[in-house]
Amino acid sequence: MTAGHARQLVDEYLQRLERELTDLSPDSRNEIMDEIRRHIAEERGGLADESDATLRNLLERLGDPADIAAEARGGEKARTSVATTRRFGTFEVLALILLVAAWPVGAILLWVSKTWTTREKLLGTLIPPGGYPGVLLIMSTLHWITAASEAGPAWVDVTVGAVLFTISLVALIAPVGMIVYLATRLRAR
Amino acid sequence: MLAMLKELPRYGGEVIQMLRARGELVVSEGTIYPLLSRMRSEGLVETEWRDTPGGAPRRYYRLSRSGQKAVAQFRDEWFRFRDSVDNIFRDGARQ
Repeated sequence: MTAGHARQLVDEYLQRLERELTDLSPDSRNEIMDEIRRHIAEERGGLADESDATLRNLLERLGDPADIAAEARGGEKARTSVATTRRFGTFEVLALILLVAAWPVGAILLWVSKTWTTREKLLGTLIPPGGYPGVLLIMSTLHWITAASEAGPAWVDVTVGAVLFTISLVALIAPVGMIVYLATRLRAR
Repeated sequence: MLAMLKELPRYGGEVIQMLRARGELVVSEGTIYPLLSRMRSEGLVETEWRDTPGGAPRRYYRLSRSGQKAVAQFRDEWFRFRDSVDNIFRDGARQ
């Protein structure tokens, strides 16, 4: 590869980068251009033999100028996203997980958190009562009722079976539904 | 990234080499530079020029006081988060 061709490859890259960075403050733009220029020079110095492929490889590793510019502008975006998500964090996520897995602990966290309204906290505490441990308790009672109804006529057995099946289904879905609801309330904040 | 500047000031290429050595890098190595530049405009790092033997001076980045605070704060939050996850798994294993 001729020195002229190498210079052309590097210049094209730097020109594209400069175009991508035009909307930045001159201070940041100069800093980034300066550092990238130095990076290319140092990496080129370390190449055992400079060929078209190794030089292209070097520029590829540096990345698309558009990506570098996006990272440079990322500051604005990152700041606004921090500001909007600051209202809830690990604590609230933990509360939701524990609400189904370890109900008393989850319920306490739910009430301690300042993120939900009292109405949402009441709903979260009462539906389902006791999270999945509570649901298991309800279902074991239902099983006992089913066993008792088997002694009666067939139609009682079938009706009781259908009703209890519906209740079990609701009891299984309710906790997940409530967590999804509380999570969407978080996102709405 | 900030934590990598905790011990001593480094220049951009050095940070990239450290990331490479840990096998952590990173699709576009060039994005390290705008990241450093942003941290500087946010006051988390400060820069100084240092001469290099037989070469042009390099821009070194070091943690500012508020950068040090940010690292300490993140570390505390991370440990608290890690401990609560540890506790959940420990309780789960016991049940």
